[in-house]
Amino acid sequence: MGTAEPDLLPGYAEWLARITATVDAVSYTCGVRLGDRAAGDAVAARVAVGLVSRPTVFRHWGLPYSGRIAKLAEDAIADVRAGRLVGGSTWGSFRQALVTVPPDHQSTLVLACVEGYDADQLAMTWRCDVATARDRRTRTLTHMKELAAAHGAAGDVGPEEGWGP
Amino acid sequence: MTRDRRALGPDTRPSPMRYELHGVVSGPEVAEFLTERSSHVRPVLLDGAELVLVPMCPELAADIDLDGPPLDPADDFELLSRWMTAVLTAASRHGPVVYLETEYTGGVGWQSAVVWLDCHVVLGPDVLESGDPFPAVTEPGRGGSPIVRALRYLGVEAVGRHDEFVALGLGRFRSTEQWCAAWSAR
Repeated sequence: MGTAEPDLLPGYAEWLARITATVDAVSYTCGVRLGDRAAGDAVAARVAVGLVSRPTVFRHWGLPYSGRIAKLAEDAIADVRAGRLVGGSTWGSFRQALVTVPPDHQSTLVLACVEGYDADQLAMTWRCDVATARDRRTRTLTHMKELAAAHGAAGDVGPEEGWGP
Repeated sequence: MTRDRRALGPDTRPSPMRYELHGVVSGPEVAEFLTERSSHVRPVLLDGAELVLVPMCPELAADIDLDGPPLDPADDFELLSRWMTAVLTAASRHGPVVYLETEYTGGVGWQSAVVWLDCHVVLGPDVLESGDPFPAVTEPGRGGSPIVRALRYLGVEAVGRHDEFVALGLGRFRSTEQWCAAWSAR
């Protein structure tokens, strides 16, 4: 009997389904390209961790979302070919970490990173002042970055899009 | 009189005004079915990162063609062989699958699309011949060209002013040859 997953907020569950579909597609295409399905899985896991480390990219469908995926995948493929991509996080373990994200962070991630709400819109939604909304958004992004870092995301991930004061 | 596109074959002459594509669009679980049956499948991740394009590279077309008359809906297409029709029909047990062909030069051309799901054709073969009026999108998610309507079966949605074809990034390259070359160059 498997372990039951905690209930996820609907928007967060939808986001998790989207990143799962991305992992499946990246794993397949890269696995065929490398002639090594296990390597494809490793590349896909690296891509997923890299995406979550900069989660505001999820507000997009095409560029820069697809561009970010291409960059992460090409870097990981180069590491595979150089024999450097070994022993990293698996998608299964990373996904398990994503389903344990607290509901408060789930909600903030969906509004700030998937729907693309700015601080003013978040404050209006939460009926709080803008500084409080910004602080809450910062805590969620920090949580997601730390989660990604714990699964192997690079430390320097660059500035967060739309993340000014 | 209907033009015999199969006899003409794809025009591979380079032109900045020309767009041509022959290929399969599906989720990875469906494309995997093709990969298991040919070593010449070259899947490319499309924008949105959930679907893949398998361009009909010459090696793939040659690898999987079979002699004999085309089966429905293959006779509405240039490169859709009997073998590919059978494989895509079977693959659709794993999810919706689109086969498309299009060729335009200077705004003049044609396009065809067909969709299978659960081993049945659920759309098409839908052909827009040169000279036919281009179908307008009457409202979001309705109407449009054969390829746009086919892509909706895969869950693709228009994004702002970009229709389903553009949103999926199918304009990244301008020919099947370029899609195949990009894969080979990696």
